[in-house]
Amino acid sequence: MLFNSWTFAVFLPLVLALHHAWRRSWWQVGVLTVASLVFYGWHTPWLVPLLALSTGLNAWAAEVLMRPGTPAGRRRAVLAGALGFNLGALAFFKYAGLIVGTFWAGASGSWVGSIPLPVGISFYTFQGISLVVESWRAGPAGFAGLEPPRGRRERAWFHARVWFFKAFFPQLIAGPIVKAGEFFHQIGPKGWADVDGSGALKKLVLGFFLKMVVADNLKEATSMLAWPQFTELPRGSLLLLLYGFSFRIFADFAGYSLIAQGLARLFGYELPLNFLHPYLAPSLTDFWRRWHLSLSSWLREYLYIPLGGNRLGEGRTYVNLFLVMFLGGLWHGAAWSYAVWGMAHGVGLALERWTGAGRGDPALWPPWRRVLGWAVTFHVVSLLWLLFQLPDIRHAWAFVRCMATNGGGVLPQSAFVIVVFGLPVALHHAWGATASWRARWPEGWTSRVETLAYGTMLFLLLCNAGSAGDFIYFQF
Amino acid sequence: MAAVLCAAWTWATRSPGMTAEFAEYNQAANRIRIEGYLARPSAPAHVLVGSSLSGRLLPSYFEGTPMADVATLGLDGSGPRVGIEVLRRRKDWPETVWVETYLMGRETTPNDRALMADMDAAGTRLAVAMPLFRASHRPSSVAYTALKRRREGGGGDATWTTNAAASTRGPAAAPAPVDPGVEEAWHGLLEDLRRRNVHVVFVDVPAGETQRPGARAEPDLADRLAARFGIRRVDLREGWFSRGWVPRYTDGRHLDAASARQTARWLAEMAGEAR
Repeated sequence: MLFNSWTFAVFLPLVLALHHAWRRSWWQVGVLTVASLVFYGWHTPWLVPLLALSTGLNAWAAEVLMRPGTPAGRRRAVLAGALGFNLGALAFFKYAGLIVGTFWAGASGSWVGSIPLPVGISFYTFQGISLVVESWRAGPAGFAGLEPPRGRRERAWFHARVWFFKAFFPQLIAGPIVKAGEFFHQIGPKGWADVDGSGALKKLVLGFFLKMVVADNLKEATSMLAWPQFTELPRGSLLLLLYGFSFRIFADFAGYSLIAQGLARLFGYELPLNFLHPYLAPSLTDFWRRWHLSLSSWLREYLYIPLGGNRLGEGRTYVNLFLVMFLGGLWHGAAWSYAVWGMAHGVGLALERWTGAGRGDPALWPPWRRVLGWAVTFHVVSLLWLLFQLPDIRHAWAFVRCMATNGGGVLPQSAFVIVVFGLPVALHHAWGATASWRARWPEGWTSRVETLAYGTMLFLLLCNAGSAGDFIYFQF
Repeated sequence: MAAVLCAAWTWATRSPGMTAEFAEYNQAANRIRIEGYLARPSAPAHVLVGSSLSGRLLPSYFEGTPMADVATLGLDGSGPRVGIEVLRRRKDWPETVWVETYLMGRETTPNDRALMADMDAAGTRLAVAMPLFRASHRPSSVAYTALKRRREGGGGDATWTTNAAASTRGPAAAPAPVDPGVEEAWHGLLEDLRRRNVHVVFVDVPAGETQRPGARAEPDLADRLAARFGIRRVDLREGWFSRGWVPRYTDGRHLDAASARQTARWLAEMAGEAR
């Protein structure tokens, strides 16, 4: 089910009414879990057993890892087995075609090449790994909100909460990736008083606006960024298309994350922040503190730090950075272009660390350095997004060549679309950039501007939405 | 705040010239045409169905002609069969349907299917009932229309070129092969139109030609259907090349505003002779 569908417009009030009908944890968790499974399996019911298998196995592993008296050897075996299952499922459904296809040219025509990618598997698998690792680390002491169960009743409640954590529909399909330690302590009876209605509404309006007005309206114009259509376009249009796709991918994904956060708030839950005005970043290091924060945070906690982080010397830090970004790139999709994208970011991060360009708080940098850094970072990031739209690296290279060799000029129609629908992304970032200046505004100004902005967004949502489309991050 | 803006915009778009005739991208342009057709109080006397080629022949170009009561269902990235599907969404029917021949033989594309799904979506029904939700009322499309009109200076006149050699026929061309399923589908559609007493005319619209097209080496799909159903076929390209005039195109295939306006006039002249 899509957030931007009529079915969801009926589904949400129904679930909200049922959830708030009775202020009992088991009822509310039950309603949300069943609703989440309906949401997930609405178009493809066969996906539900796979999610159920993943959830059931992770719940069992978490319980064993927390159970007092479990021998150390068994704990290690269960941890390895659970991690193996999670990574194995991801490898089979997401990477089997890529791995086999790399060594065997005929793979695309075989059954391996046609394994369907279950939507959301990258996200809920990472949540499963988080649960298992947190349970391993916590042991019998448990962690906030999840203690080892004693007795049948507690055991059932333990499993019910794990199902809820894995399946909670706002974040199930495309995140934010919620770590176990961030979620379980929030589970409890929720009344209307626990709901931040105004905050939820703001997130929903901004999220739907970014998705339906910005990303969906940019979709058709940026679809010209396809081989071989772009080879005929003038240089100015190619540059605008690059910016347009950069705006679109932000609006699409940040929009989804905001909707997810807003929906979770309606049920009294807080999901982690995923975007913090990423195109304001004056360095790649800063960019990754602002873009897809829940993934960066997951990779840091469960991959970079266990690999040694920056504690094992400069050389090893560069290797770790490169490895994390390479795997982070591959997480996005089963194509070597994603790995190249990740590696390019890894090289960029390593270079910034080596030269010192990314060190320190950018707010303390001189203005010229911030502006120069911002311009370079935005263009590097936008250029690398090409690999998301043109997965064949030869096509991406052809685009760069066309930028250098095609004639000048701009196609007015696509220029209009990119300028008009890119403007809200620029304004959103300008709002973020002026936070310290706005703090000095007279009292009431901010709320007045917000009323105007949210009212305008709601108006444009009603009468200027684009054609409904899938979210880009669904394919990951 | 949003309610105030909606009310103000609804009021503003009642003024003449404050609705969009063009859109900034194809899908929105198609919505303008489809919703506009479905929201009419009654079916027009004439409907032109086809691809983006016919989409250039705007209803405003027919004002003051025998085809003044016309709707254009020239759909970007689609073809005449989808246009006829739009006609089926109304209870009443036009007197005459002008069918562009250019993409008649094309199989159904994903874009066609998406358009047909859109036609039946709740959003389209809402737009038909409430003008605020129509694509023609999108603020961005209204702005784009205003800019486009300003840039084209209202369409201008006589921007085509003259070249006597253009009147010489080019070499005979073999028609593209057509899937039997497509031809079968046309039989069904044309029989349905005939049963509803709708008059059908096939139209060849300029599609990037810069010289008088050569004779067809053998009958194409439109010829076969015209022979079977007794349908007249008119070639709007003749109006240009028989005079040694070459129409201008914006992108090598689609007529510019002035050439489209002239083509519309020739089509309107033929309307009187159509029956």
